[in-house]
Amino acid sequence: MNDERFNPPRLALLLLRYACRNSYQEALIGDLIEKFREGQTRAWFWRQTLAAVILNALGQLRSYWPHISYAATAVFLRCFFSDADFLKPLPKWLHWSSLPWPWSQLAFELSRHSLLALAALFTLSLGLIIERAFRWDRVVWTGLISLGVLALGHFSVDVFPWLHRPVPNDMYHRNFLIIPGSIRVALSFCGFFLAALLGCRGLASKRLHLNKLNSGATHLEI
Amino acid sequence: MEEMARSGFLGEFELMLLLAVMRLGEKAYGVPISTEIENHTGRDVALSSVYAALERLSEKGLVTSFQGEPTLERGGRAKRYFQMTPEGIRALKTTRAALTNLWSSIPLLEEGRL
Repeated sequence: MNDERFNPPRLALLLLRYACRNSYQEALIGDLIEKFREGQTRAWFWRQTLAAVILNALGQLRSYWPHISYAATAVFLRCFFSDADFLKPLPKWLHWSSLPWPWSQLAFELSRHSLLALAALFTLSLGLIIERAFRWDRVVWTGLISLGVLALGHFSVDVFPWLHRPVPNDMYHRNFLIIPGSIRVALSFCGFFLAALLGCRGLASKRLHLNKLNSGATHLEI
Repeated sequence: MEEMARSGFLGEFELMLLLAVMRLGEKAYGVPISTEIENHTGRDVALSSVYAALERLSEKGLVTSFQGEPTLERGGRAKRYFQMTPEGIRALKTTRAALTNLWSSIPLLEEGRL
């Protein structure tokens, strides 16, 4: 039996090992190797590997649904309510003009977005309650990191001057981004999702620990 | 039947998996389970979807699993064997009863016109 026929694709095995971490990982790899050595092709092995990776990724997404709901709600609120009339007086209520810099600028430019991002924390809390993983520190950290991400995203525009143009006839000389709206929405979603991931990082590591406990696999290397 | 209605009926693939596990008895692990389904349905089955569905069934308490010894022909990986639980057997029986009832009450089928 030659080496090619006996050993499954090494890259596929690496993918299975690192991109497919779950409680049945070892048994699945063993089954795939067994069927491959019984005469299945390398193409078959790759198809099975890709199916396993995609299925695992979907499962992971499902396990992060509170984070995804939070990011989606925050983006939705920002898209549809950041210019709402009832939020327009918010910087005035915060007395932005009497605050020292940079708080004045933050209050003026970001207070509405921040309020909407914080309102979306309700969705995250609800998701964590349903998952029986609610803790105040997770929600507070997610809120704080979200505000940081918002500020970073907002002011990082200044690092890329070729990406913005001045708003016509704006008395405050504000700029707007020229990158397409869909990309901005996607970036915003990623930012909020990252904030939720970091804010609830204890939750993710607990899940991984549970998965490892469940797998309980001991194996010899090929 | 009432009990099954409370816990939810088995899906098509779950039903196939439970039947395969039952047919294989002590030899029920990933490879023979997928082969059994492929042989009897003519459908290509991804091994990962077999394991994902079996894990769901295990969470529902319909199957249990235990680990075998690592073997050289599997690259040193252990097999994971599955067994039916009494709840799993009950779920199969109630699903069969429900399906039989539904099939038998179709007049066109009974008269052989379909």
